[in-house]
Amino acid sequence: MKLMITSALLAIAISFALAVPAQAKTKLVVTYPYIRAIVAEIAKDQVDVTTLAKGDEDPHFVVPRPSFIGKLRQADLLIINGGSLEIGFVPPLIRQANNPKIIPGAEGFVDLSQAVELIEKPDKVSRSEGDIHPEGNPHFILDWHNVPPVARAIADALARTDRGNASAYQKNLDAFLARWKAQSEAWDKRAEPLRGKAIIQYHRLFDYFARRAGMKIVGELEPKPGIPPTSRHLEELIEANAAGTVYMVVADPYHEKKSPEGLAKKLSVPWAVLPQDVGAVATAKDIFSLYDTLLASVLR
Amino acid sequence: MFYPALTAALLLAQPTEGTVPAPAATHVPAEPGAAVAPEARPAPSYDDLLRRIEALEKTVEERTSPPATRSTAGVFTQNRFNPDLSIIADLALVGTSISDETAQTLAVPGFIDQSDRTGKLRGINFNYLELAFNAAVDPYFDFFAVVTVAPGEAKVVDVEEAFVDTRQLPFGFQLRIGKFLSAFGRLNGMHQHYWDFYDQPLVYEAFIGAEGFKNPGLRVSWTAPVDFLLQFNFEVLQGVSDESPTFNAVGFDLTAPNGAKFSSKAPFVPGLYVGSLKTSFDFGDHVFLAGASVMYGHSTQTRIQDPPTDTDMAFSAPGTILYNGELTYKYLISSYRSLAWQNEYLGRISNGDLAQAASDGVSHATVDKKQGGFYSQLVWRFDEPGRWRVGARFDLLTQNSITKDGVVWNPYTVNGVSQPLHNMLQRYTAMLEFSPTEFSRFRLQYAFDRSRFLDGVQKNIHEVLLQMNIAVGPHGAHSF
Repeated sequence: MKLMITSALLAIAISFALAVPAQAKTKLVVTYPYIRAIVAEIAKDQVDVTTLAKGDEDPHFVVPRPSFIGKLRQADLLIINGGSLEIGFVPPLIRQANNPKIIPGAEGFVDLSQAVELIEKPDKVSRSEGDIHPEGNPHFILDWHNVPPVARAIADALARTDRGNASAYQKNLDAFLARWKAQSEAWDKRAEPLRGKAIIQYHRLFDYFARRAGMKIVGELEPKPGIPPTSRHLEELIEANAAGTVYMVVADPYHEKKSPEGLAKKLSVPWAVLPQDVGAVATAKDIFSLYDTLLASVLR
Repeated sequence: MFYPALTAALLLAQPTEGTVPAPAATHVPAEPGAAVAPEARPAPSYDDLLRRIEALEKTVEERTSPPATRSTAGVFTQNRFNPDLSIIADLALVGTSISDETAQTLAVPGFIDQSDRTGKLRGINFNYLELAFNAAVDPYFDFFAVVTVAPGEAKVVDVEEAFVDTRQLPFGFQLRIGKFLSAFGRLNGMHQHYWDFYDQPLVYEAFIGAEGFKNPGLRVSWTAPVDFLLQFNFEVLQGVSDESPTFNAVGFDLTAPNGAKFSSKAPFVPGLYVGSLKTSFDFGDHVFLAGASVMYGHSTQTRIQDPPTDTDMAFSAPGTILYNGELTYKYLISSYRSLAWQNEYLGRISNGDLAQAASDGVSHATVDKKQGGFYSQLVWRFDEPGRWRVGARFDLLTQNSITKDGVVWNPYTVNGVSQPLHNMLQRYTAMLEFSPTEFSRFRLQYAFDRSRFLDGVQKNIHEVLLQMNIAVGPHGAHSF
C-alpha cells in the first residue's frame, strides 16, 4: 500500500517536472501526412507536429501504437481527416490520453471533413455493402480544390490555439493560398486531356481526383469496399470493359499489385500506382508534389 | 451536389484584379445604390468568391424548396440521444478427448479446484450474447456498459461492466466509477471478443477466474506527458466476488460435527487495491509494451457443506497479493501483417489462517501459499489484407509451494489422502483464425492440456474447437 502511494506521488512529481519545459511550442497531433504537409505551409516551424499514419500505410488500418497515447496526452490540437476514416484507431487513443483539450467537441479537436462537401453519401447504410462510410467518401483531399478550405480550417485552428502567432499563420496562409491558386489553375489545365477517360481503381480512393480531372470511374477491383478482389468480380470487370473503353487501371501503394496488374494486362491498358497521401510514393514529398505526382502518373 | 459544377464554372469566370464581382455574387445588399464603388473595396479573392457562391447556393436552395408542411408528431422524440449499441455473439463447436462428466471433476491441484467447463462441453456451445452500450452522459462523463446473456453460466444475465469515465479532468487524470474489469495485467481489461485464443491462459484461470476480475469501485488513471506511453492506474474495489478464485472479502461460520463453532467476521470493505503501470516504446516498426501490476486484498476460500462434515474448511488470508509482469513485442511488418510475441507472469502470495472442522472441534493452522506461472504466445497476422492469423501459446505453472504450519501440504485430496504437489504443469495451444471482415471471425483451436488431474492421476487432454464470433453495430475500435 505504502509503496503504491509513494510511487503514485513520485509519478505525479515526475509529471510536473516533465510538463513544465514542454510549454514552449504548440503541440499538434495529426492523423495523416498530408495534414502535416499543409500545417508545414502555414505554421512553418512554429509548432511541434506528430503524424500518426505513414504515407504508405492503408489509411483505414493504422496500428494504434501505445506511444501515440503519450503524444495525444501532450497535444494542444488534434487534427483528423474525419468522415470515419480514423474510426478504427483514433477513438481508443483519445480515450486513454486523458487530455480534455483534444476530445471530440473540444476546441482542440478538428475534423477537416467538416470543411468540405463529401460525395457519395450513401442513402442506406448496411455493412452488407462492405466497409462503407455513412458520411460519404472520406478521401476528399485528392481533389486539389479541396485543399484551400482544408488549409483555412487548419489555419483557423492554429490561430485559435496559438493566438500569439495568429498573424503569422494568416500571412503564411494567404501566401500559400496564392501559390495554390496559381498551381490549381495549372493543374486544371494539365488535367484537360484526361476529360472523359475511364479508369478502374482498387478501392473507392481516387473518386475526388477523378471527378476533378473529369475522368469516369467504371469500376473497382474490390467487389465491395474493404472486400478483397475475387476472380469472379475481376472477370465481370473484364467482361464489362472489354471494348477498349478503359484508359487505365490505378492502384494504391499499400494493396497487393498482382490483381491490378493482371486486370490491366487482360484489358491491354496501362496501370499505375497512385499516391493517396504525401509520402505514399517517393515523388509525393509535399502537398504540391502530391498532385504533380497524381497527374503525372495518369498522363501518358 | 452541384457545388463542384459551380466551382468549375467559377474557375472559368475568374475575375481579374480590381474588377467588380459578378452581379450574382453580390447578393447581400439588394438595392442598386448600396453597391460599393470598385476602388473602395479590396479585390475579392478567389476564396471569397468561393464562400459567396456557397452562401448563394444555400439561399437558392432554401428559396426553391417548397414551403415545409412539417408534422409535429416527433418533436419530443429523443432517438438521436440513444447510446451506441453493439451486439456480439459467440458460439463454438467443441470436441474433447474426455467426457463432460469427467471433465467437471478435473482439478489442477493447488491451482484450480474444479474446472468450470463453460464453453467447453462437447458439441455446440452457445457461449454468450453481449450487448455493449456507450454514450456521453453530459459534458463531464462518458458511460459504458456491457451486459452479457450466457445461457450456460450460473448468472445467465450479467452486468459485466457499467461505469462512467470523466472527460474533463486536468493534468492527465481520469476517474472511472462503477463496475468494471480491473486494469490488472495485460488481459484482464480485455473483453472475450478481443482475446487471441478461445480461452484465457492457465494462470488467469487459476488466479483471476476464466472471465476476468470485475468489481464495483473506483479507478484513477494517469497518463504521463511524455513521448512514449507511461500510464498508472490505481483502483479501490469492493473486493467481494463469488467468481474470483483468489479475492473474496467475506466472513464465514464453520461448524464442526461436534457442534463447536468458529466465526470469522466480514473484513472491512472496500478492501481490494490494485496498482498497475504500463509503458510502451517504439523503435521504428518494432513496438514494445511492458507492464507490472499488483492486486492486494482479502482472500477467503471456503469448503463448507450443509450439514457440516469433518472435511469442511475455510481459509482466510488478509493481505493476499497477486502480481504480474508482462512484456509484449510487436513487429509491424506492413499495413496488414504483424508478428506479436506476448508474455506474462502471474504470481500469488497468500498467508492466512486455515480453519478445519474435525470430529473433535475446529482446528487452526497457518497456511502459506507461493504460486506462480506464465504463458508465452506468438501470433502472426500473415496475409494481405490481414484476414488470417495463426498463433501458438505455451502455458506453464512454474511454482506451487503450499505449507501448513511449515510443512508441505496439498489441499487436494483423493479419498482423504493428500496428494503430492505438482509444478511444471503445461498446456499447449494452437489456433488458426480467419476474419472475413473485422466484424466476423472464425477460429480453429487445438489444445493439448497436461495440467489437469483426475483422482490424483495426470491426464492428457486433447481439445479441438471451431469458434464463430460476430459483432454488429458501431463496435468500438480495437486497442493495441
